[in-house]
Amino acid sequence: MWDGIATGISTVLIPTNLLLVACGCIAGTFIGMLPGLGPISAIALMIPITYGFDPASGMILMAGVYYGAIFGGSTSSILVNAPGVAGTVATSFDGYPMAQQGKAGKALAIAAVASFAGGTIAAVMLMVAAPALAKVSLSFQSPDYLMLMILGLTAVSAFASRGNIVQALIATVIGLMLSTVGTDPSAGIQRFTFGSLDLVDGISFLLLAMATFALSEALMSVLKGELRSESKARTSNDQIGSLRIEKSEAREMVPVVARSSVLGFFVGVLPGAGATVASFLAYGMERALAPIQEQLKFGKGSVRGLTAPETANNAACTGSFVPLLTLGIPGSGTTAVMLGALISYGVQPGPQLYQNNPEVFWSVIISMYIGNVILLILNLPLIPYIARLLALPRQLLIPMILFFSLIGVYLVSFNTFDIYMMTAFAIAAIFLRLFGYPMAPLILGFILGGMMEDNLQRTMTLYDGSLSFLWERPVSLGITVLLVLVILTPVVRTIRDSRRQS
Amino acid sequence: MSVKGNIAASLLLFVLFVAYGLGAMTIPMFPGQELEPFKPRTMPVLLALTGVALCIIRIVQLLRAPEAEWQPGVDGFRWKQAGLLCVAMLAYGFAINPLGFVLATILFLATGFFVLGERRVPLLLGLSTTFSLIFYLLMTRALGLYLAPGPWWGA
Repeated sequence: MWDGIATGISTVLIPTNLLLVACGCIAGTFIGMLPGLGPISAIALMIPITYGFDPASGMILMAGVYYGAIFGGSTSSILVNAPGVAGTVATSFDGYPMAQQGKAGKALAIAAVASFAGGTIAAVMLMVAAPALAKVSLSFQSPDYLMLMILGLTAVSAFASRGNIVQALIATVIGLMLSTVGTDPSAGIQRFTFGSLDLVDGISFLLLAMATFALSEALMSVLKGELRSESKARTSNDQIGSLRIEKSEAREMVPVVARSSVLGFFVGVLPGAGATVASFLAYGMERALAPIQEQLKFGKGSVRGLTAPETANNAACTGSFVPLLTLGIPGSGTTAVMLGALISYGVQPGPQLYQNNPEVFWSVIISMYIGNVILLILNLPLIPYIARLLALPRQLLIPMILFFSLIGVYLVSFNTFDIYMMTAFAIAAIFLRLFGYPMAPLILGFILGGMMEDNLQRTMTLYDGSLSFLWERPVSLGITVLLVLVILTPVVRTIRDSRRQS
Repeated sequence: MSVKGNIAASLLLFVLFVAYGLGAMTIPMFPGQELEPFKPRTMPVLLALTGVALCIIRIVQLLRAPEAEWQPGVDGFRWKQAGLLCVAMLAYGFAINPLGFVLATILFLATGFFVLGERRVPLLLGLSTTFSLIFYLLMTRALGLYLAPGPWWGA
């Protein structure tokens, strides 16, 4: 292993590769900041550029872009509540309220430090435990994945509902329903396409995410007439506030970072779970662990609520490389794009990669750490300038957000039907928001829908339509117990509160 | 929204889930597939049933505890501005191919700025034109992506 690490360090420390990590981080941060262009689009755009590079350099650049885009997504989540990346949706729950309280600088600093800490801890864990962790994800079977996804969705609904879990569950079901549009992967039968060729491949994640977050959020701010006051608040750089993290806040962050890094890393290792589930689970976990008084601060600018998803999503990004590099299974949409890139370089990811191309394997791992260092060095001092970019008056910023959202999706498909569909989804999202239906469970349901159906199919086939896997498989049983706890906790709390009131 | 409005919204979603369920029942199957434990319509049917059940719970919740419901006010909402922006987005989709990226984007951005209250014409036109041209050149020259140039820039 040490030989491999030495090979990785020597590959990454070549000036060209260091420059590539830095360029990747900068490009990723800017792209991630723009609603409509997330890491998948950013990495997809990088593939043609990296064709001329050797595989190690190409992967190093893409790892930098990945981290940069996740951090950039956090920046736009905090400043304008428009997460361009699903993994940073949970960041906006507390980051945006903090920014509204005039602590945008502090929120960005906490996000940067949490991302750095999460990425660093996960990179160390990856270096030490990569082969062993691959075995963990190998031991998971379809029933376990199915239950894990149901747990993730329920946990999201439990805390994103702001008091009404039923509404959040309805939003989750709508997201799952939207994921069934298109061609059924198992039988190749078209479902809910209404004979339209534009729907045969289903609805793109990017389209739905942009419509339900960036577009609907921008339109909601217009609807609520937040133009003048917001522009006044944002034109002054003083409103960004101090970047300083108080000692008490740092003390509060330390245990959260430790827990969320471990959780994020392990969730990232599981194929399919990724940064989004990790960030939501970490948020839910911290909320559950917090004392009652702290729990009330969640969703209103809690330091813990911001630290947990930021740490977990970066740790999960690192973790998602484990199945990609050691098993050849992508852990997320972004690593799926990277898998395509590796194959195009003539490198076959999987157990053989570790043996045949150790420089690729280890240089990606080392470049993650270097990427985290560069992100911290680059982003903290640049935060006021980055924030200034988003400090345009709202009457100018909102049409720009609408444009980037529309064009970000259009540039992937070059199909104007996507623009019409986005507008329709944005209007539907406004309707749902007005009646208090949260959007985060909807988007997570949509992301996990396809994978859930695959695993449901395999489970039903394996167990011949029986639910016996729930008690026959210890992992599934454990997850089911957790699921019951997640569902019962708010119910018990509601009953307890109503008894206290009466 | 009032409790009545919330109930109406829940009923609308109930109808959506029922319609989805009915649509799921019409998903075609290969011969013999109906005997398999998992069919292309299995997941949609499960989702429709879950959705219907949740909507019923929601409606019961609203009927039982109307005073506790969240009621955001809709007074003073700028429906006209938001509606015009939606129309502008649809028009942008229609215009991007026939007019070309640059002209369609200039018109979309300028319309957006105007709708949201920007009345300084030099800023309105200057910013939208500069931004569209820079973005077009960046995408086509730097990244090598094709964007419809339109009849005026195409030659």
